[in-house]
Amino acid sequence: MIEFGHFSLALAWILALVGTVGGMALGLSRQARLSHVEVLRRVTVAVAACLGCSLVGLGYAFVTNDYSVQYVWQYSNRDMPWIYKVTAIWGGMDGSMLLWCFLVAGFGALVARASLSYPRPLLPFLFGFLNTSPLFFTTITLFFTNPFRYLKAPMAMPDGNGLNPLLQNEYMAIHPPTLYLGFTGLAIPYAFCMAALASGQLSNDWVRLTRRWTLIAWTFLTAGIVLGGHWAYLELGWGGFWAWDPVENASFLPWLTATAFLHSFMVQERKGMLKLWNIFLVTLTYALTVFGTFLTRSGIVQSVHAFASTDIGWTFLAYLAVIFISALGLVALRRRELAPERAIASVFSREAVFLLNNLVLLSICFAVLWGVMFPVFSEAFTGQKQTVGIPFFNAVNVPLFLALVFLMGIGPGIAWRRAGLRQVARSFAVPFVGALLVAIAVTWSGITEFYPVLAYAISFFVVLSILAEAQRGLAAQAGATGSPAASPRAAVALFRRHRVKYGAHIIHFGVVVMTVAITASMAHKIEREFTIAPGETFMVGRFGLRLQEFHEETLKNYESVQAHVALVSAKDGSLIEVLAPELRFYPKNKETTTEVALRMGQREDVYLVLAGVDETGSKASFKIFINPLQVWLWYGAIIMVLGGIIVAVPAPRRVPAAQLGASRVAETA
Amino acid sequence: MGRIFISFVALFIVVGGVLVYQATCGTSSLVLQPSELISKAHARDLLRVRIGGRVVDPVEYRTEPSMMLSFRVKDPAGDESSVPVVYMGLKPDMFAAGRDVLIDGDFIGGTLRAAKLQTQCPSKYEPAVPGAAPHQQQQ
Amino acid sequence: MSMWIVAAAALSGVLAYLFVKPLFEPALGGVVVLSEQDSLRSLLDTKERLLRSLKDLELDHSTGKVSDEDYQGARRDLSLEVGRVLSEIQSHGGR
Repeated sequence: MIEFGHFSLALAWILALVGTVGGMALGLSRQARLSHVEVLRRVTVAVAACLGCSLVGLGYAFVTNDYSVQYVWQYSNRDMPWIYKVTAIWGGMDGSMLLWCFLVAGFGALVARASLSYPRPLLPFLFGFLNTSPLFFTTITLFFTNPFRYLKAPMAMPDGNGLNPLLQNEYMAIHPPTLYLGFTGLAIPYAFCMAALASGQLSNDWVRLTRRWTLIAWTFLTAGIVLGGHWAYLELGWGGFWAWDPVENASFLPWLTATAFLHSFMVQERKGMLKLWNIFLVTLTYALTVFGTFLTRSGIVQSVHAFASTDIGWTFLAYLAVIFISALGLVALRRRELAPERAIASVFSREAVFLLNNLVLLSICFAVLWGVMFPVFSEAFTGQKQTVGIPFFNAVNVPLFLALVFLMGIGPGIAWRRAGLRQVARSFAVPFVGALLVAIAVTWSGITEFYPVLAYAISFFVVLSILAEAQRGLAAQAGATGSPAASPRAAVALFRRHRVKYGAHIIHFGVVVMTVAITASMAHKIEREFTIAPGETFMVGRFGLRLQEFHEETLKNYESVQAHVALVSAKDGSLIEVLAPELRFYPKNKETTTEVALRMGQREDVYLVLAGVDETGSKASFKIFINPLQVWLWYGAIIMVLGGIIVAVPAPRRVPAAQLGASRVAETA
Repeated sequence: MGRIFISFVALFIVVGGVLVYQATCGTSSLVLQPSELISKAHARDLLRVRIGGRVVDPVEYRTEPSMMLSFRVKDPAGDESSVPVVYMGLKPDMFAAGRDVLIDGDFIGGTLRAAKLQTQCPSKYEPAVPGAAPHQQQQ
Repeated sequence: MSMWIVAAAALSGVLAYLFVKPLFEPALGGVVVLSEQDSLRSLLDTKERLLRSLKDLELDHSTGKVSDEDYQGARRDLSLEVGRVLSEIQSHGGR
């Protein structure tokens, strides 16, 4: 089976090459036979099918413990449950690249399936560009990081090396594939964009057709990033969820630019503006996904994710150069068609706010990229390597993020083209006063730092402006139909009619919930270290912690000690829960790991780490974090993902009443 | 291109540039190996640094009256000189002699006072996945 | 050992059949002309965009984001433009 996997990978590479070259050739010829286009379409689907076979081949080797394969030997052993053997497919670089290939080709295949309704002149180049990403990544996989190599060992290996214990976790099954789905999905808008440029089909078609694919990818990327944060929070015992590590940043960069163009697409569709800008953003997003893979696998920046330095860095740099140069060339070729049809008429307009939103997102992207690459830049320019850490990222990004959240409140409440000052004042008077009151109340309650107060006020401002916008929508609907404004049925009808618009509001609401949670957990976190003997109680916040007993156990490859700690209410001493943080000692390499005990609550998380036990067993030391509103971070993310699904899922087909109305207007004009 | 477009872009280049510049100047630290740190130490009394090095025995860890981890680090490649490190906080997961660590902190009077200590993944388990678990410890 | 050769041959065979089949399908005998964007297509695009702007304008007005005065002015401008584009489309022989 391993040979079959290898064969399928090679076949996929050949087909991706055929698809790329054939697509370009067919696109460049002025006339293409329909049958040839159809063959090209099938090739695009076949690449994904072959890579699927290849993945099955590798998975089969894992499940059947075929340790003659180096990759299988390296990342699994007989003791692992079968589910971790399957997830070990992407436990290392070689297999994760293969999964990447499959997913990027899979997206291409889905587009190819849907392509029968697309404008035909777009298709040859579209298939060509859909195959370039699989071609690049299968080239890497086949020639540089091939997971199907045999182990160079004199004899058969009885057992494998095993997967890093930190990766033997259910999150390993879901976090990387989700993240990869987000990353690879962003190759689709790029393929559409390049195909539109190359074929000269620069009408709004490509933007319209791309939107849904982008939303799907964006939703996966959002979920993947947050899942990574959740995993880190549960597993790593430092009480936080995001550390601005280069690898985390690599996933965040394309998210920022994809979010930007999801907004600026709307301006292009309506106003014929920002065409060049959108091409720039789409290309940049795709380049950042490639750059992210490069960053995490080349060893050019120091990361706690001790990635093996590999020599494939130059191939990524060459591909990035190809991406940018080809985009520049095509833009130069089509520069006349890309001229904006009009300029932004007023600072008080939806399009101006969208432009601001784009610029804030790009600024964050630039700042993060700068932070990641600063060691490389500083060494190149000053000869002395320097670095920046979490304080840098917070200093730059906190004000920019707050600006972004603020714009989220402004954008939907302001008219396209030109809004009257009086209308703007009327739309935002209530939210503004509400935010002011929140700021006063928060300050009065004893929180006086500038950013937290501002963050709470802005969050409330956004919530109020979303509600005000919904209320105006209901009133307008009531005015048009004569039905009562504020019935649940009217709200449902309004929501269904403007599903995308209110889906976006749901996403925005999720962002606000996350903003509040992040602010609270950053600004009001309590961190304490303490040592207590059994029977003693340590008081912190509204809790007391009473050490009850130790529970020791010797397992196969580690010794475990658990401390049973009663979490009690500080007010009346009643028991809330017994927490059991654990310390594991691996005698083989004299290492200890901690297993966090976590009590999630609506008001706060209690996060308890066992730091050490006295040699006589009479005392234990702990570190406790109390993270206010932490759980709302995850709720906010769930809301965002739900909103993403609502916006991305196609509406049931029916004749939209609004469109009929619009064409009537056109006829009477 | 409209006037508004150009002026917005210009505004952001200026604002973003100033923010990034200020934050960089205020927070950047030198990236050094332990041996370089020893040779640089004469230049100034206080250095904000990030050190990548290998932990050498003996490692002392106590949890009372407050958590303190003290050890020495040397260049991962060489075995000459080492630098004493003091970290007030929880011992990170997988921390042990022989392991490579990343330390952010201030070098004062011959001792590195770590503000942040991170253990690097063991090299035999090389590349995890993008976005996957960093092992780290913060103070 | 030879199991994989059978599987590989089967995969290749199925794919080859699927690739060759459309070449002999009479329904796919036509030709796509890959002309660059013609002026009619871009006019239709403009029409669509103007109609969308009108719809947005109606919505913004009904939710009180645009004053009556601005609304009347913008509506008149947009409608005139739609009319102009429609007549151009007609002269192109479009619908």
